[in-house]
Amino acid sequence: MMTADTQLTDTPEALLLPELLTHIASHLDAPDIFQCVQVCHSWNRLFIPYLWRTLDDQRFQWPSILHLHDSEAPPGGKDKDWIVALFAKYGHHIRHLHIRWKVVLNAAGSENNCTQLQSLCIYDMTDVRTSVEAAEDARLWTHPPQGSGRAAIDRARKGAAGPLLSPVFEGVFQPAPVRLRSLPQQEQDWITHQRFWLLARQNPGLRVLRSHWSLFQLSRIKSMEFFYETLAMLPNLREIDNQILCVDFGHLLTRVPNLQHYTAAFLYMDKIPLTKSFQTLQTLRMPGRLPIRVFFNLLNHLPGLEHIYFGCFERGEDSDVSGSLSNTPCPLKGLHFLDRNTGDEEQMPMQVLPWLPNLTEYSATRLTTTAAMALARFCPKLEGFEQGFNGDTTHSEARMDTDDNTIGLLLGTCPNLKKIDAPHHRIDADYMNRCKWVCQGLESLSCQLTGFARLDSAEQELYQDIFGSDPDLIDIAEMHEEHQSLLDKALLCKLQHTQVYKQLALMTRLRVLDLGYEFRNVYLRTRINFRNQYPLTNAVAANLLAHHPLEQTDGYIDYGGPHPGTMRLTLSSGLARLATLVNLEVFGFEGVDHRIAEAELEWMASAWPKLKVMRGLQEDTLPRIRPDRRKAGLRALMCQLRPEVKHEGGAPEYGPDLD
Amino acid sequence: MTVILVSSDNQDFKVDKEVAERSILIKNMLEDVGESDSPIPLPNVTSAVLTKVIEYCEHHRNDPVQVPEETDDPRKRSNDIEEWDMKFMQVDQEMLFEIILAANYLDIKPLLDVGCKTVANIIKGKTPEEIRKAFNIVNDFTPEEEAQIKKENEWAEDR
Repeated sequence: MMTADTQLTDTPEALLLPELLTHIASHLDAPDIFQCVQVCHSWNRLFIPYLWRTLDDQRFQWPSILHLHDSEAPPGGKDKDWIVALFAKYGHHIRHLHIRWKVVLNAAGSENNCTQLQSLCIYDMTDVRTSVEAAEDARLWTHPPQGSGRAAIDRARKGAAGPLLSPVFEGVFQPAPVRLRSLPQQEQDWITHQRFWLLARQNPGLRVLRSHWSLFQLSRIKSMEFFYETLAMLPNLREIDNQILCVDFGHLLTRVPNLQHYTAAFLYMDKIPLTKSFQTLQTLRMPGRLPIRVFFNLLNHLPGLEHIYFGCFERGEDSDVSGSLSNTPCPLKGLHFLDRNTGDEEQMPMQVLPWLPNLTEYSATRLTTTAAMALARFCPKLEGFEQGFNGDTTHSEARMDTDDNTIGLLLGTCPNLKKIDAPHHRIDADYMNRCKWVCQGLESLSCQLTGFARLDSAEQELYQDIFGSDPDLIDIAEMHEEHQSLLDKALLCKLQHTQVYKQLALMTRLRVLDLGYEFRNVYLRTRINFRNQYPLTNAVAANLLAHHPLEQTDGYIDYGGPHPGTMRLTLSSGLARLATLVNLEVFGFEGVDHRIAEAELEWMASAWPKLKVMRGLQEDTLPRIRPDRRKAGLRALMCQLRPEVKHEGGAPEYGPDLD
Repeated sequence: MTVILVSSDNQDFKVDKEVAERSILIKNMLEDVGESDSPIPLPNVTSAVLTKVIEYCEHHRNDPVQVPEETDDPRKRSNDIEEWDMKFMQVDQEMLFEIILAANYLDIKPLLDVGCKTVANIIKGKTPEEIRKAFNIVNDFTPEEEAQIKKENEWAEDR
């Protein structure tokens, strides 16, 4: 289809124009640009700046180069001096620098190598070690540096200082408490931390500065003024992620007046409330509990604030705060809770939500009834509810305490809803049928529909025996009472399905419809019982199994069975009503007792032309699971019908940290 | 309202003003000139290329104005080309580069984008030698230079 192979007589003019080549480069990723720099001199000149524009030492070959750089014979002679020389040559091209390796921080921060940075982002540096460092760590573990006992404790408390790289660092740092670092290592750490600040200070164009707490392990900063002063040297800063210091928030904003996004690992603002207004801050994210009065203090002084993320509201605050918001109507668009609950769940919605008429997004691990009612009443612009991760699974035996039908309440009252991402929440079929949905613009619905009167397999059999295919032919007057109730249940089931399908069929904008949720049950007898604890992603499970092979631990992994009372997704139950969902891209039914068979897949394949992802037929990648041949057969059929449709799980990519 | 565009080989093209204004160059010219019936000469564009460009502008006449994405992360950028554009770009290479040059000259950002994406897709997955062959470029590196460039930049290899 592409006509790349038609031979040209000359190099096209367009390929020698710098502005066009850079435009082309912007559509290529580093491995392809690497090929381009090897084509000819003029391409090399034009593409090199693009190749080096973004440097992320977690990507491509960097980890393998850096892992061996301090070994006795690094492959290709790529040792520390070579890395420093490389940064001296190409560092001025770098605009975006993402660092995890200390050697990269040292090379970039040496000799004004990088002065054109727009973003400087540090990630967890404790995770990465060269092979030599790992061996050294292992040695120190078995042979602690200066014996043990009292001396070791003192050393752990103090740590060692090293040389200062610049007079401006006088009195700024103090050694971090260390346990197992040799003296040369501590001195190097002392220097490495300074490189970060040198790098920040020599890049006045910085727009994004993200620190990581692993810097804090290198050495401590004792001078708050140094921190503020450095930030004040960076007039273009728009985004800060501060995981190093607990700051006076108002003071920080005074020094960085154009800040738009601030993330912090700690923030003691409740001690020092804001007294001035700051117009530009748009996003604020921090952990911890926030008293409602502090929340209102923030809203009062940050008139541009659009999204706020924090742990939860402080409980048990009895003072009346209702009058304390002065800049009404408040422009806040997003209220996001990071903790498992929202804190004061009974009072908070009524105290806070009436003041947020412009709210469009609300996220919390669970939506309580009071919050749903308050959102419905006070936040008419609401467009989305998103559920954070809470560690529970759909099928956990101790079902999580979400209030049923709160999502249904939103769907029935918020006309502007676009996205519901609430896989742990449930809507009861009967509730759904009582409450007409008003959100015609709904684009994404991820929520369980439960409470269907489904016949179990014994009932199903009995039903077939008695009624055959047509219950209308039975003389009801003659019927046994037990059979009557069976018939009632079957009819109720049919009615519920008909009505739910009708309701869903009205949501013609839907792109995502996910009625299920992935669940895996992992049990490792000797170590950990993960039963009903976590939705395990493939990555997490692979990690888990690498550490604790099942053969040695007498463990097992299985998938949760279908959830009872979920919806039947068959043509005979009315699936074809969903032919109106022509925009559907994602359809999920994992954990649903769906009874989908060949005919249903054939119908979906033709009715939903935009379908891209199916969740429910994907391969079981975990070991010790009896292969589900039925599912495999259906998947094969779907691959034949619609080869472009991907089959994947719906569980988010997080889970227990197993290291 | 229509305007008349004149190609480099002196052919007249009568098009709706709305269509012609997909080109920022023409839009600015029309704004500067004001109401006028005089034809607009486009000395850098041949009639063959102009035919293609007008075809593109006709198809996209009602597209909303693009807001440039402010992302420097290549991972976030999409290289998807919509189906119609993909078919539209199935021309020989000479024409492809003519279209890109015309889009650049006429300042039609979305067309330039599609053109550059198409070229990027040709480059993708190719070795330097294959790229040279595809675009008729002469290798002017010495073996030593080649080795050095490789060593200094091979961190970017995708193995």
